Amino acid sequence: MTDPAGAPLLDPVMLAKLRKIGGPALLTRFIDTFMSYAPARVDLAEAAAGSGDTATVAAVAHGLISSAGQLGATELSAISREIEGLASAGDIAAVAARLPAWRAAFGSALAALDHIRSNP
Amino acid sequence: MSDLPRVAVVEDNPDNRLLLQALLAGRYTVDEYESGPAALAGCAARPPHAILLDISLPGMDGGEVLRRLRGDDALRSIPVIALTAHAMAGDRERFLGMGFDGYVAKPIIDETLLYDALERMIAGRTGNA
Repeated sequence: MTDPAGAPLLDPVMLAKLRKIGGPALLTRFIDTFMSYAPARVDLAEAAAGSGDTATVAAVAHGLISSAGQLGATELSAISREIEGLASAGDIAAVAARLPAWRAAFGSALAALDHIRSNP
Repeated sequence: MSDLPRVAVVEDNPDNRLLLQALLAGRYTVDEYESGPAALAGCAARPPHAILLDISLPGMDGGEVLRRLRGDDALRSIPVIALTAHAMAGDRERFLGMGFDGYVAKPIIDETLLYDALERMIAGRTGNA
């Protein structure tokens, strides 16, 4: 899958790394594991942002930096790092402003991962 | 009983544990812990040759786990490598300044850095450096 500009949504180098380490089985297991917990974590972060709980937002965003990055979801990883920084600084207004982009990047990454999962 | 060196992985994200298990299997006996308290209890019962310790653990964070390890006569000499997505300029120095013996950034882009850090520290601890 590609973004509207034609660039791949998932970094093929990172996907190839997971395949090299543990074959398609590891890639599939990594995706399944990520999908098993990440959506609920993002929901939690959105709810936390609504109540001004920046510590929870920062914790969720921090966790997504490495997991998304390992899966090659570079845009999601980058926005998660940005959100973590804003939340850690207590800037709840800036967090709220970036939530739609975070949610969109997450949705795009999940769709791309689901596509890869069917052909690991 | 395996003769492989024992490495403790302390990491709350299940996908990161999965990756580390895949990377370390065959080279090390891996003990996985999801939290700081579980790691402290497990390391006391089965002391590892090295510890890979996530910084941003919920509850007791990696810095506090390190402090408690260093305060325990039986565990203080175990090399501890910070495993973290904090990978901005200055973070490496900050973690080494806290007393970590090494630093590996997540996501893991070059696994040879992880292998090198572990081998260097385990060899140093067993006098084979």
